[in-house]
Amino acid sequence: MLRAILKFLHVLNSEAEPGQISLALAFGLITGFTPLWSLHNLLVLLLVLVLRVNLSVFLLGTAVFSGIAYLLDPAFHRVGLAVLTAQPLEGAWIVLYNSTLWRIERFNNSIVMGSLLISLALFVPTVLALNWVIRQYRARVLASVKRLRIVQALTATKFAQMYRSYSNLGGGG
Amino acid sequence: MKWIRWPGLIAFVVVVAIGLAVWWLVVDRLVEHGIETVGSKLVGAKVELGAADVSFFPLGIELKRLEVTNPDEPMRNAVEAARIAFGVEALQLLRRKMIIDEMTVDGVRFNTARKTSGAIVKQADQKKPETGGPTFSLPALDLPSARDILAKEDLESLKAITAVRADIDTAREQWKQRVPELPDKAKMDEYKRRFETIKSSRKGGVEGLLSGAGEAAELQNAVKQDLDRVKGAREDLARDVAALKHRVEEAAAAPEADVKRLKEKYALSPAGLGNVAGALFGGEIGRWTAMAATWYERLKPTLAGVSKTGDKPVEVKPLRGKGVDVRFPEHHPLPDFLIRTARVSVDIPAGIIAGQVHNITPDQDVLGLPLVFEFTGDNLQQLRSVALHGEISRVNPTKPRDAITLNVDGYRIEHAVLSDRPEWPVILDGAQANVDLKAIIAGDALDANVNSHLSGVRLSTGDQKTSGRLASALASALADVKALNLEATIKGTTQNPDVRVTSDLDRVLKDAVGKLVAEQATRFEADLKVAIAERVNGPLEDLKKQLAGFGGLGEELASRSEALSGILSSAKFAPKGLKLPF
Repeated sequence: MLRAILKFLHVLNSEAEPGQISLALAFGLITGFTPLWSLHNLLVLLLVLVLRVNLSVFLLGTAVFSGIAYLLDPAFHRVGLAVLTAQPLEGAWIVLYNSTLWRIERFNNSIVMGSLLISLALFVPTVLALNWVIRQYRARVLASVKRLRIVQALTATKFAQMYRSYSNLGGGG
Repeated sequence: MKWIRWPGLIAFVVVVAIGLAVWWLVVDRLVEHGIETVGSKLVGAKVELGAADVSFFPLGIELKRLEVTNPDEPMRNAVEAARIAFGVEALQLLRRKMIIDEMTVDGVRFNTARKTSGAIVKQADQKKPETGGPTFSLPALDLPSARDILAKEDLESLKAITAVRADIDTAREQWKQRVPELPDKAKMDEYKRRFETIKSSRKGGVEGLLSGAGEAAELQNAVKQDLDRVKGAREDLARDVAALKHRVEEAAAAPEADVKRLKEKYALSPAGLGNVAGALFGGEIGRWTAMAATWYERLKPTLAGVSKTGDKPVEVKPLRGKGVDVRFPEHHPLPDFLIRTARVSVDIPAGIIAGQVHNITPDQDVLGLPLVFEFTGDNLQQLRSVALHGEISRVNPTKPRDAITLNVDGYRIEHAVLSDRPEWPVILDGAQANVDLKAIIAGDALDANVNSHLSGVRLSTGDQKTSGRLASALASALADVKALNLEATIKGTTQNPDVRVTSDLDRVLKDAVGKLVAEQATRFEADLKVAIAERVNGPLEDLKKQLAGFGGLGEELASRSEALSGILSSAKFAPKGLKLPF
């Protein structure tokens, strides 16, 4: 976990495109929120590997959002069940239910449906919001932080040495 | 910046390939673990699998040495199978449906020994269905003495006498209170005196005549009223005495009823010999029925089915934290689990019985077909042939109906202990049986009939320690039996089956020892009569004396009635030529 955090900090403070970081976290949101062994997560994995997004951030995001998902399961269940039992959508669900691909996807499970809908709904806002935050951080916070005495003191610690050695090895996505 | 990295595609393929390889490596163990876990949960005892082998082209599974523990006997397997192999429809499996066209089950054996206990920790408050078999008992051959019986039995006649005595006491108390309220000698003397006074004080003239007549009429009315009261009391007394007399007669007859009851309870009557076959064979049939009922009840939830794919979406209750699967109508409905045909070979001690089971599914209503099975075996070791056919229908879940027929031909029975009672052991040393069984379970109602013919019968009564005349006669009669027919009817419910067994063995025994039993019963009855009379006669005599005490009371009331009538008839005041208006 420490290694993952170090990677994240390295990426955050590097010249990497904010979009690479925010998109990786947004994909992590989907794989973290929804049950891991779902068909759509295979598609997410394909996108993460083919698109130039940061893999370390994606893995960290998946782990963090999985923890949050455990707390949000009741909400996912309620949303999913409401959508699956909505009368106007019944015809569509019946069509999907009779399709093998969608049965593999387990769309008819309340938690799969609820978590997928919520993570998809949060996907674009997450990307946009994170892009803005990263840019603001790099423009305003990073330089100030580096000038802080406490930070200068911390850079002499073992943690900082690990961080530098990791950076020198060229780790990251 | 370029947003696409094509090597990522290769990485994706590699990752997926690694994932599939890992799954391929562990899938056998996953299947094994899944079967053991789910099976153990369903059965309530350990279900163990030697090995599972999953093949992919074509998709199929082979299971080796499946053992299902008998939850009632953890050191024995209820059933075990040496090999189970089947192919799975891959496309349906992707739709989460296990559809098996053909399954082969070899080396099925029942009730085999286990090396280790197959018990699992049972949950509290887990109650088994009550399926205790009916009990049968042989009639006693050695009779206890009448006095010993009376020492431990309550006599109904004594209870009746005590009750009547209490009633007589109550009635006597009531009459003790009532009689003093009736006109007594003093009152009658007063009436006489008043009449005399009226007679002696009669005045002359019309005025005097009318005045005397008025007083006389008033007095006569009072006497009449008292006379009516006494007459009413006499009638009430007569009624009470009659009722008590009837009760005393009933109490006097009660010892006879006691004799009859105790005789039926303790003595071996000719009628008691009428169900020896039930006592000898009914226990075993009852045990088989109870065992079959237990397994039937255990399998019932599996047969009932849980999934429904009707016209409306249905929510299926999930495990905690797993969400719910909402089911929708399917264009081509299929059960979630279906074995279209299972070819099964069963190893029994006599050899191998082979058969087929069709349409194994918990969702018969979805499939629209019942489960049917047929097994046959020929030229077996102790069995000429056996045929089993059956149908388990849950096509209409509200009207479940199961039917089974079993035909066993030439089954050799050796050394079957029918009664292990030391005073009357009965062993079937040998016989050849033909058995026809038909059973139907509609809902909970059970209706079964077993017809069997036993030939070449060799019955022995072992080494009897108390060989009285009756026991010897019975042993001799049983030894002469060479063939017998046995019919059992099983009705009631699967939880509470009622087994009745009839046989021509009963008639044989009745003919052989009926006279002896009748003599023994007569002696026993006479002894009982004497012993009961000793205890009952005294209290009964007391009762009669108590009742006789009411006779004096009746005479007293009669005497008062007569006296009052006399007073009334002697009271004549009317002068000649004048008619009084009373």
